[in-house]
Amino acid sequence: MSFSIVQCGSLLTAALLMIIGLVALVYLDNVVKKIIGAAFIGDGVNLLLISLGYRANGITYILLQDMNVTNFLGQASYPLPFALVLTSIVIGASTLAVMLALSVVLYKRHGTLSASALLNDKKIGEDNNE
Amino acid sequence: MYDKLVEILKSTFGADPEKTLVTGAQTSSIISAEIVLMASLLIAALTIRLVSPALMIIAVIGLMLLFMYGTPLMPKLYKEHTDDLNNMMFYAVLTLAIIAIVFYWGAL
Amino acid sequence: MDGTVFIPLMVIIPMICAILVNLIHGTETVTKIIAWIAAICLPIVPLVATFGNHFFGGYQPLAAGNLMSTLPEASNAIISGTVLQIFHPAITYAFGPGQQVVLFILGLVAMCAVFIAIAETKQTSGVYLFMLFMLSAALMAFVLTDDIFNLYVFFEIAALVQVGLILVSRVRGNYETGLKYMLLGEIGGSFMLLGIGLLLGMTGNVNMTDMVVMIHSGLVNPFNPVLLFAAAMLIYGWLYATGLPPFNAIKSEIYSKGLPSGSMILQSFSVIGCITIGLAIIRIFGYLPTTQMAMLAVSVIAMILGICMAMVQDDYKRIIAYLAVGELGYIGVGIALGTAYSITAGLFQAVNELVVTSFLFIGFGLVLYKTKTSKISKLGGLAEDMPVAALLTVLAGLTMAGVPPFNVFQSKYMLVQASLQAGIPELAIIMIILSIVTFLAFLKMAYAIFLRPKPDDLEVSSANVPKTTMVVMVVFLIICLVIGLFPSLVTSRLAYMALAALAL
Repeated sequence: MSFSIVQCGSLLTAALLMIIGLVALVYLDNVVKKIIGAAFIGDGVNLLLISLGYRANGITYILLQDMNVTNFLGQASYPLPFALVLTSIVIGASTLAVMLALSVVLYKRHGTLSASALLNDKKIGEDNNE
Repeated sequence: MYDKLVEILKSTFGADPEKTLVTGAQTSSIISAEIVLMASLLIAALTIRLVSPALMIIAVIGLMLLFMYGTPLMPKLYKEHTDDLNNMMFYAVLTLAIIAIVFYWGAL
Repeated sequence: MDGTVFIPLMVIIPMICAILVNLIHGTETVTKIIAWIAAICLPIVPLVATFGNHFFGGYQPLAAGNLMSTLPEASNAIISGTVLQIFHPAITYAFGPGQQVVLFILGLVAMCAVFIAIAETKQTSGVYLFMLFMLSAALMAFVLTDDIFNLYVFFEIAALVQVGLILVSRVRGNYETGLKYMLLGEIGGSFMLLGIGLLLGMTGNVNMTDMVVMIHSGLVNPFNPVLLFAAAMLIYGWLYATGLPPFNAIKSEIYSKGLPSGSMILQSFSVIGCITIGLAIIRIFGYLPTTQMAMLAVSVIAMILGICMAMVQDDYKRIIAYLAVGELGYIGVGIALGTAYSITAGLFQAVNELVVTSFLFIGFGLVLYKTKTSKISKLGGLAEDMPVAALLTVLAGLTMAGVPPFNVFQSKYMLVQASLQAGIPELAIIMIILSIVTFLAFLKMAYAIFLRPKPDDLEVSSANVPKTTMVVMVVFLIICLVIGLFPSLVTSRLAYMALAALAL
């Protein structure tokens, strides 16, 4: 298997995205920034999945009538990760949408987006039924 | 010991005794939780012998020292177990790191 | 007719019903009727389906379907004689006796949750029923699927629906909890997907049976660091799905923010996630002692922490929630010990857990229904107002603590035996001690809520307890008794699932 600078670069980018996402989730206080960090982690994983299917100088994985099967198998890129990433992106988008919607509701209620003010429930054990 | 514990509990679970009644039942249940925590953690530490006996001895001695100087532990544990997002996130990322390290070095 | 057509129906029926009740939620009677019919189908379909595999799109493994001859010459020459012959090209659902038991009990719990949701809310909400059905569909797929990416997809769907269940409950602080759960879930879910992606990269597969073949046939180096890292990430995802530490605080928080019927299904997610992802890890990485050690360590810590935290709480919803998390530790111990007997015991505990925790959530849901408070220090003397319900709730508590002749006694007994057989008697001692403490926690709760004199300022509403709820509680009690008296009914079937997880 040949070493590919493209694949290596995209794997490194994926790792960087995940680390940036984790740092954002832990260190940033703004809820929207936290959500962006969470989305970064998901994007990093998706990028990693796509990179797995990459093949240097590869061809599309569709076998046409007049192709030589042996050559095709030697050159076609791996199709499964692409199919999986499509599903995973859709899931990530819906999760992101719900999180952003929740932050909108919370901002309207409390007038702040600071996580340490919003998501720090000190009222443990209080009657919690409206 | 009992009075000292009640004092600590009152300061942990709320200073106003009218609102947060630290009743006898509540105090005794916290004490029993404390004892169970000690006993079961010590017994659980014995299972480390399956990994390495030396580590087990260190862990057991460490736990004993912790119990000697750290009691009562329950109020501290309760404080750590708040619904604060920062707290949860910290422990989640910490666990991620520990698991990754254990699997990287532990299985070679 | 081939009985295996019922296998995908177990997922399809609740899913279609979910979409239908959401579409027509304006017309109340039609919604109710559809929900009733689909709910009754949930436990019945697993009983009528025959055991076997369902291949989506009909794509069988080439060797199984004698499909080699249909391929072009050139590809036939390459494929024949290699592992490619036995690979599963499409999503596969496997259904055996073990899955039947788990799905039947799960269907029963989901059915009861739907009935209670209809009975206890004044106006039937199509959206709420949508969440209940969607989560049941996801859980059914969890148990059936053999494809680890399919597992992940349903896992994320379930996570979204769980947040939905919290949001519609109108308990104070539910939006904050929902957002917290999603942010933490993004870490847990994403890193689990990372593990799946690395497994896919190493083995070229997402089917668990094929992964096991690849690893054990020597085609992949089983001690490759990337593979080990994948194991670590899968275990992290397992922790998140199950709510073991460090996720126990958020899990108990979301239980306490749901309605009783919602909490029933929420805890089913934890239990089913624990056994399905746990079994997947043991199947793929059972050869690594580190995996078992890590799973055991976390399970034991979960047991100790869950039960100790339950003793300190003052809110009975939180007490049940922490106890439920603690009980999940028992399932984790059973699965992590990794012998056929211990896995059977863990699965048995999981089946019992599904029933008993739901039973408790309904029972204490009634207290909430009557008094509108969940703080123990404000309650008392409710045995006068709801004698039968109080008795049933106390019985449920005793069941969870492992009092004979109920079912949890049998499964905890099996777990203790399994840990003795595995040569770790310390685990047996811890499990027994913690059962006793669970019992203590329930005694305290039962005394404070039902028996001690009523406080002056407690207002008990005169509304009658819904009949459906009482019937459901009696049904759960009967299940607990029957399984407790005849445990072999369940364990003999679950043993198949345990053996399948250990088969190479």
